[in-house]
Amino acid sequence: MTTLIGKRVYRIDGPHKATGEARYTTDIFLPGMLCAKILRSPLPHARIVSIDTSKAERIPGVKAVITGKDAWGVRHGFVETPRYPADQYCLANDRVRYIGEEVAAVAAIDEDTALEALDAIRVDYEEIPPVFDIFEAIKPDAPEIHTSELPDLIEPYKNVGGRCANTFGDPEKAFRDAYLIRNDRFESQLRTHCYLEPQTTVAHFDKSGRLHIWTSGMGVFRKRMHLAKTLNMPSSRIRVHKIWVGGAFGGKIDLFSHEFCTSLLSIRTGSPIKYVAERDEIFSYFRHGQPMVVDLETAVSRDGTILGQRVRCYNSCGAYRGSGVVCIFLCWGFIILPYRIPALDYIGYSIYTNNPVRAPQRGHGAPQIRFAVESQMDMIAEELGIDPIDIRLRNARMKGDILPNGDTIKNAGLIECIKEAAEKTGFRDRYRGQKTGDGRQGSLSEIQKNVSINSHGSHGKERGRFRQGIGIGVSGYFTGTLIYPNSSAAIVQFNDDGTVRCLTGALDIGQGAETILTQIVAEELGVNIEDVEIIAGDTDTTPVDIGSWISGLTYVTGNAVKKAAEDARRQILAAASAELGVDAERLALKEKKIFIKDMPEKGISFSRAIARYIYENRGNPIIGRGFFRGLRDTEIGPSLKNAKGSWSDSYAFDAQVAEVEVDITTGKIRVLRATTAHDCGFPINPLLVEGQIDGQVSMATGQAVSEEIMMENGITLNPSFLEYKLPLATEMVENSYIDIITEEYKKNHHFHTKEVGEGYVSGILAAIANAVYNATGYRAKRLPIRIKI
Amino acid sequence: MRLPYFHYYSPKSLNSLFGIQEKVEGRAVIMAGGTELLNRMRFRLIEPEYVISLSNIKGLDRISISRDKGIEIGATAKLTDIACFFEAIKPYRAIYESAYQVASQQIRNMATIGGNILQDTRCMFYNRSRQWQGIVPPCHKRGGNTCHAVRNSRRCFAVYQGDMAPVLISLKAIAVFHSPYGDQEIPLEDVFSGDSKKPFFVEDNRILVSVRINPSDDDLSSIYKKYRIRDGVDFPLAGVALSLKRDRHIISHLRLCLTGLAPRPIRVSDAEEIAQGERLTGHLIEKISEIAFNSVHPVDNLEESAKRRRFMAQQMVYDVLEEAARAL
Amino acid sequence: MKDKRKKSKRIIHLHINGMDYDVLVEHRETLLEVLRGKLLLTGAKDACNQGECGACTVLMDGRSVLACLMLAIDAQGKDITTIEGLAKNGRLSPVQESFVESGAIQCGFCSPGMILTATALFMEKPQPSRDEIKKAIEGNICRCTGYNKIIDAIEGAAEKIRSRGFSDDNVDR
Repeated sequence: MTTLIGKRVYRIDGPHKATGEARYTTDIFLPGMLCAKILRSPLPHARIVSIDTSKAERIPGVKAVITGKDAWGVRHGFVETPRYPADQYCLANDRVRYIGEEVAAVAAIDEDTALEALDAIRVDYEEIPPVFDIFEAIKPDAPEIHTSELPDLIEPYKNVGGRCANTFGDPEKAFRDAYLIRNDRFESQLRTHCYLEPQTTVAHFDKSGRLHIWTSGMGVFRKRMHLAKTLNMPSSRIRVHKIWVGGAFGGKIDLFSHEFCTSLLSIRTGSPIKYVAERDEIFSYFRHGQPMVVDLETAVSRDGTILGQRVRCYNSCGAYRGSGVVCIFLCWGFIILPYRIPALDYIGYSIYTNNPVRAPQRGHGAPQIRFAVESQMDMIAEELGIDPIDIRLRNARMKGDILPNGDTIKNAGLIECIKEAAEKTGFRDRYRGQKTGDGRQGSLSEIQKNVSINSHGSHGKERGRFRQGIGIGVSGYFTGTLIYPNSSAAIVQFNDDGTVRCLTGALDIGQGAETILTQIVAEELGVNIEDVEIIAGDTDTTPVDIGSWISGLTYVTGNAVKKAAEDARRQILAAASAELGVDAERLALKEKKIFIKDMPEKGISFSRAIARYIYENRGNPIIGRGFFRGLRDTEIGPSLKNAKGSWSDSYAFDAQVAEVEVDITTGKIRVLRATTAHDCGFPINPLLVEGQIDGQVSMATGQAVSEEIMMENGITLNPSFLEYKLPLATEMVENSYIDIITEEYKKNHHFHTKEVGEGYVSGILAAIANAVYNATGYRAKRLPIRIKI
Repeated sequence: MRLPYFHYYSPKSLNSLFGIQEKVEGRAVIMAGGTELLNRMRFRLIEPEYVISLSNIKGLDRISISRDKGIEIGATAKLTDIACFFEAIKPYRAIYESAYQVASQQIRNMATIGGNILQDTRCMFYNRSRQWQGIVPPCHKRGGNTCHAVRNSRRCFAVYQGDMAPVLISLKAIAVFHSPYGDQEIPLEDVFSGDSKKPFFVEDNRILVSVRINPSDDDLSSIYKKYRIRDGVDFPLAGVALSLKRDRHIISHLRLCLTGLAPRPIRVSDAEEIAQGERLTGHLIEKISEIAFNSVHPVDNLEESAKRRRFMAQQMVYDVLEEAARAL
Repeated sequence: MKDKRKKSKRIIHLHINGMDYDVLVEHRETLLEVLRGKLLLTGAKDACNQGECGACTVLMDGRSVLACLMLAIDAQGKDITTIEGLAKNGRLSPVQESFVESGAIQCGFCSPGMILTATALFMEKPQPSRDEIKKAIEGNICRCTGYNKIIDAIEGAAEKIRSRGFSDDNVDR
């Protein structure tokens, strides 16, 4: 029985943010602060012949100008392994590979002067032919963006930044024995995070030789590591401060040029430097999500059981490797995760083009893959005459399943998720009741013909004009993984008055990390939420933590904090035991008091116990230490080359149902309702989990029907919140939530919870596409869904 | 992105304003709400030396309606107030519908009808920051000699995307100007030049002070429909304004005006002609929507294809006429 | 000519959150720049600086406006309320309270603007419908919450205002 775990606790940072008190990086104003601006390449592919900054440096008010030669030729990358060495420069070295690539940076007394300085920098380029389409880029005569150095690249492809290939079972036999084979191509668009806080950094190299950084990012230790490397400084001299972050969704993880530039400019000038990216710069040049083409071939038996799949993923990673190489590994994972796949032939390619580098975006491959798989599942079900629910139940993974890489599914509520989602929405009846068309409806006029509207009578048309549809999508997600050292350390201390302070390197990027951790500490120590103070996300004062971008915060950091609290509890109980003269097992903690369980009137305050401890230990205070790492017994993470190796020790699942309405005279799609049945283990804070579901449904809706970054020859055509159609309040979807509980919070044992921050985009995305088909007979193979006119 | 430097005046009277204009010899722009002007300045599309604001001139924001004088809306009346005023006035409901669908609540609280009417034409290759523009050669509207939307085009295709003008034109609105040399009243549609680069016939020293609509009989109905990808905030990718007068079942007056599809609002006069004296039948509705479709030739220079915008224009004309027919 | 324009400055008198400020501003400075850079009232955010996201929303004579689309000069003679002016004597306003309790705040960057827009809404419509709420906040972008709990929070605030009595004190300027 828990008092705070599983409760709808308000965000502890709520009042702070509701009053405008909470400070973000853009809110920092330091004395003598200079303004930094970045000069960007206007060409998609070119050699830098020369850069002349002399005129810029002479402008009054310009304090420093830096270019690639000031960056020591140090490269960085989203991954840095022998197979995938770092490939990005902080400032372009001798070549630029996308429009917007950073070439120089200036620091000046104000924005106007800084922009004047940018105008005065003269760069001579020698143009190289660019290539923007991935299928053009792999051709043998394509311009070479990078030399492909992958020894396992057997295909005659150029510009391949990453390859992940994995085969298991007997795919040949699966396809020979199949009752039905479907082969389809699905395309996911270039879409972006739209975090509301811009990309921004303040850097201050102080007189004692320490570099202070405030940056809008997703993990302070990771940023420090990158900066130490690129600035050639020991990490101990760099402090990345805690600051609130206004959203990230995967777009602020690795090192950004402006973080390096502001740091170096501050070192050069001795002044604080602030850089704030313009919104159109963010839309044009910063990291977006990965667009992808998926060729999916699936063999099934007569009853819809999957026998095998052949998958080719073509990922468009941009001009540098970025996170594309991780994405193509994860795509393998998102294929094998929710359904049992007995045989698989998978190859994923991450392909360079002269476009800005791409990054993870909420789901990192899952939305693209589940859109493909779930759409095809429905197509297969229809051809076989099977209900979409039944075919999924037939293939869904269950507890105890062993994944192809050897991981065991310790708990899986997927079957329950599917059943409950179907029941709650009345799926089967509604699906059958609304079926329209036979998949041949490729355009609005064909849909209308099929529905046979009476275009002259108003009565029938009104009823027929708006078609409702229902669809389902299923997904799975990992909870923390060892692609990066996914561990966390935490400290719990007592103040003299019995209140608690917890130090953790975790970073709250909006998801409520600090609230969750507060709940855990308060639960373990029997205090109220208000009695716990979280000190988080500062590389000087808090212990190391991987950050909030690998879907493991609640699980990994949560358990580290739990252990630290348990350790502190042991110490305070020891003192109380001595004070009260009974064994520690007979004691309980509640509201800053320790009392004997069967004699509750006999107890002492925390303050008293703490004082006793300090007395007993000659002044040594109570400090609880905790550490946790997912996959503790595994040495290294899975291979990005062949997907072998342990991936995660906790897998989340969900089934999501979308209800849409399509106006078949205009093609307009409205997503009305979404039902999410999710196995997240158990929710530590259901209010926060709902908030995560809401946000992901919204993102999925945008990805499904309206969002797309439009580019032409490397130029972004709609770089604004006005022209990039992310959902407004008018597009809000009504949500229902179904919790499938498969884990529990245990005392004196680490808990197994599952991620909730990323896995609920893909199911609903696929469900929307399926619902549109159910409403109109229009089968979307491309996102966003635009019914042809 | 900061605004460029300028000198700001906010005179208390029109005479004062004219005095300033004379002093600065045409180097000033007029600012009403500023919600459209400021962004064009941010992008360095214009960098005026002087900005003269209308906000302190009293009496320019009045809204009135009377049986004998008709409607008068002052140029600096805010869109929120206009929407509020006309919400319950059935014959002129289109004025409410267009005002209420402009941008966001915040912008409606700041923006004026004068500013909305006199907004510059737009194009996704034009309304971009100076930094973005540095990547491509300047287009016609930027003083260059190329077009990024239509390759090798000698003319500019920037689109007029105002919501209020088509409604007012469909209601036969008259634009009232004051200048140092006297007042002038011209039909609102004649204010538009059809030239994307210079969309208005408004000399520098003429100030739009109000729009007037002559009084009308009670059987007037009006409607405005707007196509955008999202259900809020966005400019019209196509907009349709209809005003209709009937004598029992016969159409005595039909005016149809489209926006978002050309360098100016397009009055579909052919439709008006064939509708005169006819009954609003399904056949007539089809015919008019076809004429509307053929009266506009947008290009791919907004965030939606020209093909779909044109399609939606036809569909919306159909829909507003259907709605009018049903309301009988 | 450029230098002459550069000298265009003025001392303006602003009335913000019930307090008076005399500020030296360039003619071209927006209200947002003055609030954040000169008065350190950083609750209004610079998320897009183009009037497209609503994060810089402040109240002017009780109506929601965008500080990035206003010249500071034009804020003279007006009653300006920023997010910092809502809580009174350490107590959150009903709208702020409801946002906290409903889970409507995640990263918090849109929250000040959203809360002020909602506050302005209540001055016109004490019992807005869900559709009226959506329309009122159409110009406030949120990427974290999907808007669901924001709308719940605004509905909840209506309840609080109703039970505490709808007076200027409770709604708070």
